[in-house]
Amino acid sequence: MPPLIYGFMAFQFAISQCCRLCEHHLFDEISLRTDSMAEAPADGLVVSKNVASAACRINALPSHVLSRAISFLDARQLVQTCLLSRRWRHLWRSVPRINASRHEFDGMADSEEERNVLFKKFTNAFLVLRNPVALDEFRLFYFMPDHEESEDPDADSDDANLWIHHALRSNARSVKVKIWDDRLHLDPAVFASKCFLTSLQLSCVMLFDGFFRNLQTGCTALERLLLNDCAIDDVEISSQTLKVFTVDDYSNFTFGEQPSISIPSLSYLAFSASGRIPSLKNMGSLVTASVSVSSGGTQVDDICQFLRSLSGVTNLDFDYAGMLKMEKSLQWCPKFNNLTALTLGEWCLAEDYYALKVFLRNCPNLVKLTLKLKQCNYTSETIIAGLNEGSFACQHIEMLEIVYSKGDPKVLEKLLVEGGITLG
Amino acid sequence: MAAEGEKRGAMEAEGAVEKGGDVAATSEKGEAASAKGKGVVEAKEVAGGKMVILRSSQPEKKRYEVPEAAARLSMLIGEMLDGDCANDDGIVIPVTARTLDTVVEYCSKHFEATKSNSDPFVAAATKSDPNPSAEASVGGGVNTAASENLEDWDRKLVDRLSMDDLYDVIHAANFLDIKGLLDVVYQRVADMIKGKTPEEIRATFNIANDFTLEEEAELCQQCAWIFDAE
Repeated sequence: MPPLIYGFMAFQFAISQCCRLCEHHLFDEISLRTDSMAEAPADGLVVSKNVASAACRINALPSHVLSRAISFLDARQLVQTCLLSRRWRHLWRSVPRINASRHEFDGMADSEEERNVLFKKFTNAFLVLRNPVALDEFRLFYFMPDHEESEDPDADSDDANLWIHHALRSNARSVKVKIWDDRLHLDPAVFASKCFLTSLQLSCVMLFDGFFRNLQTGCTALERLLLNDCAIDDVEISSQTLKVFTVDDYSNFTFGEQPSISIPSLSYLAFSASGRIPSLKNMGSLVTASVSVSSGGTQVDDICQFLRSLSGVTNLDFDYAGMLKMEKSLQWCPKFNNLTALTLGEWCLAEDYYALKVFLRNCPNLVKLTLKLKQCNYTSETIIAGLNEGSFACQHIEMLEIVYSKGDPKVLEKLLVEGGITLG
Repeated sequence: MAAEGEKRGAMEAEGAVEKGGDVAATSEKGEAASAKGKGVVEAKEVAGGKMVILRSSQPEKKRYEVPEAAARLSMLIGEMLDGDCANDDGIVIPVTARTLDTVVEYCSKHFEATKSNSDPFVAAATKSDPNPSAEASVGGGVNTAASENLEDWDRKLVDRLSMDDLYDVIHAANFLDIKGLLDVVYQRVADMIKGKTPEEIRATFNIANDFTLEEEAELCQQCAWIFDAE
């Protein structure tokens, strides 16, 4: 049976199982209320004496305002508001945000698996019972058991895939998924149908072949894609709409093939995934790039092509942890005519500041230079002294900033340089 | 109230001082309006941005002078400035001075923050996020110390409001359509609900329980699934 249909049947089953009188603090809470009750008028309306005298301004808020205020609550706490008063009875159903958090069940049951069962039951019922109002945002914090101990890791991910699919069908503009312990097996089919998604954040998720293709055909309004700690099987990354794309250093491409990124609309790229340096195409709109490259499997040609693709950016943060020797005769660094802010790591100071000098020679319009250093061996004086070996002028530089990354990142020195740095 | 007014006077002066430099990216509209030469409000050129006059309506018409880009954090004020709705006396906002104090403080602070944030990487990364907030970042790593400090500042601004002030700010922020401020006040409301039993929540907000016993029992039965903790 296809997972989606099975899932909906499970919803109905869950509801029928849950309809029974509860014996928990709700009843205790009722007895509390009757104790403080001052009157019990004939029509059965009960009013607590001390409460009636003070104004209830929260109830006086318009429904759409109150709905938005309580949309910041996690799902279980949100549903509990139905008990507050008549005004609140059905408010939770029309709240335009869903924060489904497994953390709300952390204090219950005896094992993670049991807690997951409770959370799944609750979330299924929640999604079915709420009104089908358009969603601003769907957030999921969810626990995935260790794949190696599980019988069927794909099946473990069924519920989450269903919920995300439901969110997209509810016109969610933003989806944020954060998983812990092991990675969620995200079903690429979830994104294949047309949806209104503009922002997608995935943390600790496995992305299978076809994910980016489906994203492109289905999520035709997608502008933001943030990947954190993701395992990526799909190496063809292309989009016509993305403006912000980030892949962090906990993510990796599972196959050894070179990933290819082609996004003509891209304005901001942050890429530090381990593995082979990607091939960038159609980066004409790119303004800011923050990239970290290790040399695992990377050829020198790859780096040349990579930097060439970035040559139109205005702001560049380039960290290179590789071992490749840049041949001094090779033109590995293109001209960065638009570059006004450059950030480089300690690697650029090796071999007598070789790479730093090459960059400075190729950035005629540089205004701000930032160096991220691990050790405190360098000060602005030593760096400028070191740069004096060459003979070139960075006439527009206004600021040299040194950031030490040991412990707390601190900006230790910000040097405002009048009239640029003229060296040699 | 008078002492507070003096303090606010000092704050106004701070807000009026332009640090110069580029106007933040978020105020593109502001730049366009300046370029069109709309002089409907007092067009005092102060090192890069026009100043806008705002007035509270009750009890007294207190006068605030804010940079146009800061005022434009309010979508409504932005529309009024574009649509020529203001007179020379400034824009009158139908809220108390006490409420407008908080609103202006928020707008000024956020305007200053975007101006002084010279890190283009943070600015670029958080652009086009429909719901930007530190909590919302799911390990994206695009937040910096600077944006977290602003979060703390926002929280402190709202935490010191009394309940009545809080409601007033909610109404004002809704009316003026200032999304960032709304997110902060809504988060405070949610924080006051979080972790509490229904009885505790009612006590916090003075909500009267108007269910009959029969309704309550029926509700309990229907909602057993929330409390279902086998």
